[in-house]
Amino acid sequence: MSSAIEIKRLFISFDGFGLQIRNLSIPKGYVTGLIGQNGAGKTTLIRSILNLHREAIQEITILGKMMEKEGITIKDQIGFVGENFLFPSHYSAKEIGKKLGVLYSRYEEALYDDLLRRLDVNPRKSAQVCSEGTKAKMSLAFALATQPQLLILDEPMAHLDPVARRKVLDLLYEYMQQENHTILFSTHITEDLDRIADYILFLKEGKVIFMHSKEELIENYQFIRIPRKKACKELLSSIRNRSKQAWKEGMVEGMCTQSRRFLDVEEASFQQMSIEEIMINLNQESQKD
Amino acid sequence: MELFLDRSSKEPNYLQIENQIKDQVYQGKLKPSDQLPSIRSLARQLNVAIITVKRAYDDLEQEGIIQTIPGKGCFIRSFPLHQLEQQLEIEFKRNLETLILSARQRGLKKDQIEEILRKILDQKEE
Repeated sequence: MSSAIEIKRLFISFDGFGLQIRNLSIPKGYVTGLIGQNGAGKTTLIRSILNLHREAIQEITILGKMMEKEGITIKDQIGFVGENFLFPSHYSAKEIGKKLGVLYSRYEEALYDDLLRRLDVNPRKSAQVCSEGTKAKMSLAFALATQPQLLILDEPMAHLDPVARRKVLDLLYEYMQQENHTILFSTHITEDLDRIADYILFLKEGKVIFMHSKEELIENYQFIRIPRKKACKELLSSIRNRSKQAWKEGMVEGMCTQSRRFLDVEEASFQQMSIEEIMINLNQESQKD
Repeated sequence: MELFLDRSSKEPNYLQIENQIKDQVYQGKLKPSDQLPSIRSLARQLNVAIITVKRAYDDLEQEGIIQTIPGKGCFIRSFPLHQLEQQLEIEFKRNLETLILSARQRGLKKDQIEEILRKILDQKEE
């Protein structure tokens, strides 16, 4: 499988925070969801990919090219939506298209107008009088209208109401109809990941905890309940965040991280978990130790 | 093609997709050389990950039910009817095995299971 983003190494540290990544690849043609608690390094990772951290030691290839050498060519092929509104705040959506569209080789005005209409954005209203949600929609519409190969989104859904979120999700699906398109997005709304994400990248304290396909994740990380005497040593050591109460009652309960391997164990019952539940379990565990 | 995903089901999404396509083949709703929607458009339609539909299609392809023609799409394969019946038998046996295994794990005895099976079959014949 070819990759859209290939990180050989990425080291960065400031103000007591460090991000350390070796050999991470974001597959081309798929949606990768970036999750982790606040301060895990999600935004720092995204900013590094966009080469915005000058102090970082990094070796990153994007769409087969090095950012340091071919930055302009690459940025032409990346659509980016950040947490903050990146355009002059007195611009209206129409002006953003008129003045900034020319910077992108594949920008298409008709597509931009259509996207704004579908997202219910008034093209003539200045951004400074728009809500955060509307500004997020403007940014996304513009990013999509530049017809990028790679779409990078930092918390795109944070300010959107459920109806708008569903519309945006559908636009992302539409974008992914092209086989060579890739999305990397960070989010706290794991329900969206449960739907659209193909891969989940989990960061914690500046390190990659895992990068799994969603199928792999859901099959392996499941809630298990089994009588204590039926659980072998290996099974026990794969169960995280065990319940003390269940233990007293002679049972083992918790999140098994190798469920596929132990599926046939006698008297073990398994239950699928959502990405949110998996994330919470992985975080709780670290609080204990 | 009409598919419906039950998100509260214990059955994973990819398996639901797989089984529903198979059912439609067995019931004759999908016929040999019928074209399936592309992986990406079905993912959009069902609001699931591309990789989820891909897994279902890969499995169906391995079982010889569908065929991918590069550049054209995915199609239902044409195969003789007896093969279809055989498939159905294998499938039924597999489902039954899972059911029986879980029943036995929860303590149901062999003769109880036989009794239940016989009752169900007799009811159907009446």
